[in-house]
Amino acid sequence: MLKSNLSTRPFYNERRVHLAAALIALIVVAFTAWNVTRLVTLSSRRTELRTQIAADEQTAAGLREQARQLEQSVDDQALVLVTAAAREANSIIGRRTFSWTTFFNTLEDTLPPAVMLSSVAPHVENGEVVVTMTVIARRAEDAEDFMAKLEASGAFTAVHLLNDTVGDDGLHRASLRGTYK
Amino acid sequence: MISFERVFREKRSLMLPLLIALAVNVALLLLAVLPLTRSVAAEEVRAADAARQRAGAEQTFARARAIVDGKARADAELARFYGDVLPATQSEARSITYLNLQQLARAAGLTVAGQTFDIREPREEGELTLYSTELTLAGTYRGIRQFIHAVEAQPSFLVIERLDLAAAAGQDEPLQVAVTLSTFYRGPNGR
Repeated sequence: MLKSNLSTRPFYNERRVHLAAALIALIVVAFTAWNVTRLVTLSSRRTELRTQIAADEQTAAGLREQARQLEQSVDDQALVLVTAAAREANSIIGRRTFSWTTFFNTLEDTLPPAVMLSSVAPHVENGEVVVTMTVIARRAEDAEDFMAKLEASGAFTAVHLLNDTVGDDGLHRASLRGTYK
Repeated sequence: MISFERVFREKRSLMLPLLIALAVNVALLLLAVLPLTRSVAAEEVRAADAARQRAGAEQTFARARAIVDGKARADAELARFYGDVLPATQSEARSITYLNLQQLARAAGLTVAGQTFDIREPREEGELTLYSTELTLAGTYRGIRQFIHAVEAQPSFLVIERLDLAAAAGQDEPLQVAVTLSTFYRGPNGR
């Protein structure tokens, strides 16, 4: 049996060449499909974004113009006056809503027998009712006891002594203030 | 070994269209898809910026609207407060601080030892005139509390500003108390 190949141009496996060509064709088709899809998607996205940008810019410009017109419609001087008037009204309403009846109920529960109330004046500070009191006490311990009881009642916080003067009669005249709830 | 060159030469009609299609696709990628991708990314940034500007403009508009609405509401509430709650004139202020208080004191069993009045004109435009009175009363602790309760319960706008109690001289002596009360009104020309 003759085993030598005497052909000057040997045959090659056509099937493998066709398979490779088919593979390349498949890659080209997939690549083309991907390219086209990307182009369509990106073009659509860009159009969508440009529309959205234009709408946002138009809305923003419109809103700024409306805001400018609204601000122009308000007289600054009138705004300052109404703000001051509202602050004043709130302050006096705050003073009016202070309940002296409740306050006296608290005092009756907390005032030690050796302490006498001399004066009381509530006022509103930063939206809180601050009460300034002057009491006459036999001893400093009695004034301290009164302040402790005020805080313990829960009706007052931050009770502190402003001054304590001892008179010729030996009585302590103590001024104190606290925030009333 | 079979050379690619020979296979390509012999299968040119098959290979050439494939290679051309591949080249076209690469060109499409480089010249269209990638620039478009970069363009879309830039538009995304612009869109985010435009959305931020829109949100900022919405806040600006909401603030301006709140100022206008707040002022209109405050104007209406202040007009109602000045008109319906506070005394309208100095005469009304006098009426609720003089006769009215003396009647309340007597009803509580207290003796009126004296009364002084003070009017503080507004210092700034738009402020209210303060009409205050100091009432000196004598009586029992129960009577004083009854008087204070009556002042608080009545609809007139009266603020008890201060209480000053004087020590009773003796066990049977009545308590003496100075009560400072205020009311407010809007003077002529809104002052």
